[in-house]
Amino acid sequence: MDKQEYMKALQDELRKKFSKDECDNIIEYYEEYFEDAGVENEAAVISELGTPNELAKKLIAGDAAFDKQVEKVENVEKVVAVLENVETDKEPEKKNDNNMIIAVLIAIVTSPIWIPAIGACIGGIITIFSFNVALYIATVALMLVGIVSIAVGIGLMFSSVGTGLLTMGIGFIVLALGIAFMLLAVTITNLIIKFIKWIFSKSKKEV
Amino acid sequence: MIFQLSAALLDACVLAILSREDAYGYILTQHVKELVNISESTLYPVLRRLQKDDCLMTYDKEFQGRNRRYYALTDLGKAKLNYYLEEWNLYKSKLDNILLGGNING
Repeated sequence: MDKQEYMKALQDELRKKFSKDECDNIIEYYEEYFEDAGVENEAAVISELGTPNELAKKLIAGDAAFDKQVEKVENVEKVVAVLENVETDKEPEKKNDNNMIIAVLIAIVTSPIWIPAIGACIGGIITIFSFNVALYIATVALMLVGIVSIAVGIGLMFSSVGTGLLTMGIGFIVLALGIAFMLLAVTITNLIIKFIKWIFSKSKKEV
Repeated sequence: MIFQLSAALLDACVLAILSREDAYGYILTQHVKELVNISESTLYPVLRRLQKDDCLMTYDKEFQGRNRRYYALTDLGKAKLNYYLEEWNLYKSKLDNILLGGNING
């Protein structure tokens, strides 16, 4: 078999599996190959290539192997990205910066939620404090009224026992109410103090 | 050479040879044969694949009244070669550790 016959036979085999363009590429490659090898090496090349049939099979198999390689190609872009980052030390820094930026962005985007929430919490706390203070004021007021009523009642005892007793009675009731309010106010204050301590202990644990 | 050349190593060899200078099919095959005992039919699929992966590009040059197709590295091809070289160094040092003894923990 000479080169002409060989190439013809090869082409026939290749046309079965490859497109015309692919065929032409392969044929052109081996035509050049023969020429560069030189006429004197023609027979040697043919024996190294194998029969046209064998060569065609190897080329088809090589092309099939390519499909398996395709998955690996996708990694190359990542590889190039890594290689273009000359100092590998840059990577960890960039990650930290990116995390910071993302965190700030998330904070800004969700601000319509957490800003009012914090506002509500603060409002709630202020309400409780005010309520507690109001209770104390009420306590003082009640106790004052109670004591005054008792005093007035004692005074009235001299003119009208009944009225005096009534007034004293009312006075004691109001005083008792005042004391009850006082207890309530103190209890609430203690609760507030406990709550504040709890928050501090939690934040210390986090630290 | 009794050790088989994997497909990746063969790719790396072709890329490395082309990194020194562009080459046409026949001469490239001769270079590779100096290193590894491969057959002509092995090389064409490698070149074709590297070309499809954009690691190689081709151009034609006239020689003695006919055409010669040269293969050259693209930027992606250079990057891939560097990647292979890094991998090869890792692989080489690990193998040396095992084969030549010394600290097993590297």
